[in-house]
Amino acid sequence: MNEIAKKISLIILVLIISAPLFALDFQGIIFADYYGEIEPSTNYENLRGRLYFQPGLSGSLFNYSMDFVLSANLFYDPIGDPDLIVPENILREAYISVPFDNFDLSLGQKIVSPGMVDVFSPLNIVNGEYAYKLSLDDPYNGKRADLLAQIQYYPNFDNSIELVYVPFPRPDYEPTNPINMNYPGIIDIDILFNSDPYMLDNAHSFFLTYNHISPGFDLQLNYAYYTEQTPSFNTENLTSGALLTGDVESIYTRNQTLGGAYGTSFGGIALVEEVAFNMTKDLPGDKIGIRNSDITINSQITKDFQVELSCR
Amino acid sequence: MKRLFILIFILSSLSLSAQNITLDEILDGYEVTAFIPNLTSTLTVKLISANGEVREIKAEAYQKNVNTNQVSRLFLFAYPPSVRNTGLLIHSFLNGDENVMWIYLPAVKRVKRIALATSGGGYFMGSDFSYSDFVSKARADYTQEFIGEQVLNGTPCYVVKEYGSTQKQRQDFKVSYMINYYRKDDFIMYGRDYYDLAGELVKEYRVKEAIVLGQYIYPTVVEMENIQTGHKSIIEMTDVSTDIIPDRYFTSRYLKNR
Repeated sequence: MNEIAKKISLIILVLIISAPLFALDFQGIIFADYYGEIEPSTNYENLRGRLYFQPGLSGSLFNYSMDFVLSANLFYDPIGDPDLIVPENILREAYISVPFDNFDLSLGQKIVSPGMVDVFSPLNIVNGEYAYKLSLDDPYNGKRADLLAQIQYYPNFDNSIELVYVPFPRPDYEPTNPINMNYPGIIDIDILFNSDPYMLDNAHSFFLTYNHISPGFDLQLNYAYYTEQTPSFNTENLTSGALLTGDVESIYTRNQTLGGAYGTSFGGIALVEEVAFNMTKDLPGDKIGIRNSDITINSQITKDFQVELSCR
Repeated sequence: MKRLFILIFILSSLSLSAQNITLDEILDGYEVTAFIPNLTSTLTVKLISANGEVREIKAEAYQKNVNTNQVSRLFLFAYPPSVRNTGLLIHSFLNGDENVMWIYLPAVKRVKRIALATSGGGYFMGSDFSYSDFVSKARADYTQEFIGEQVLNGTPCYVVKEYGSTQKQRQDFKVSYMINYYRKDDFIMYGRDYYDLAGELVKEYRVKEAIVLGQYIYPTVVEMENIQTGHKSIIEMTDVSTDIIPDRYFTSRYLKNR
């Protein structure tokens, strides 16, 4: 009892002493969602029920000269095959930010979201996807934060240049077991998915972004030299003959993406145009299994319609 | 008889002095007292439904006259938790240029340009105040007519009718005209009635409390009631300060990283 009292006293003493050093802000997001399958030919099926909790702690240290963010993803899927979040995905973000006169520096595990459109931005490529079963590209667990260094330089109020360096990118997360493709007499292939938490072999991703925000228009120009988080497939180990057989392994290739976004508003309409040229390892497009290069154009128009509904 | 003559003379003199004030003097007086160069406050918006249910929104509010043509406003929301850390930056222009608004959404870590400024303004966080109520407007964009005097809630006021100079302006803001009440002793806008495009009274704005800040007068408790729906919103401003706000507050960097 005496030992416990000593420990509690010590913790309280540390908190009291350190209280002037930082300001704390705790925030928690809790929700539950559910998916069920309705098909005319089959019975109703429970697919997913997620109890989600995202605790977050943020604050400032050393008289507001440094900020920190610490947050976690926690969920439990009680329906069907009960499923807890895997340990590597519990830590959502953990980083510090240091503001200087003309630039901000961030270090740690952080979500970075370049691009301007709300969904499916071809420029939002810094972090990999978190493809939990039936998850959408939602803001809560649509992306997995990477361990990175980010520097944002502000030459003036309207412009900024941002460099993000990710030493060991994380691949898209999608829990998948090996798949066997077997068509008797034609194909017998095992597809082996990577399960490493970090892409150590093909490390070092760089993302450079220029931002301009002004009353007339917003502009973003992006260049990235990075390891794509979505896997391609190595088919070199397949042996062809009467029967195509062997193992196909998921691999991660280096890409370059060049693109930009333009946003403006007029007459009650906000318009965003994004274009991205994604150049993969297979520029000629002749390697089976390697993702092809592509150009993506994304246009978004939003307008506010004011509808009066009265309820007395 | 002599006394009666003097009384009539005094009353007619008072009447003449009231009529002698010009529209420009009223509007100039309003601008001198109301256009505060820097203003910081903690803002609480109470949304009150027709059946008395109350919901609250809290935000830090910053306002600065950047130059003679531009007024910038920043709202950093603190409550309810669903909008916590959301930020709203508004640049409004007095030369007729379109107002520009950006919102910072912490869930997706994006600063997003939005366009609510001309589409009727949109309602500010579900309240009866529209976004257009928070943006400055050029006097030249509106036509004003001095239509007399009236006692409003026991306070003598000058009454000015104001409407968009063009049909498009009136349709954009979905208001055919407004009746403004300027308090006679200090020219603050003590009340405003909004009439919809059908000419029906739709909203009433009333100042409940105001404080004197040097040469300025600032309403600290204001109420907007939608007469047609019975919904009412009350804004209370506390911790009001006129200290100079750095220009960096009204940037996307501050919106994101404050």
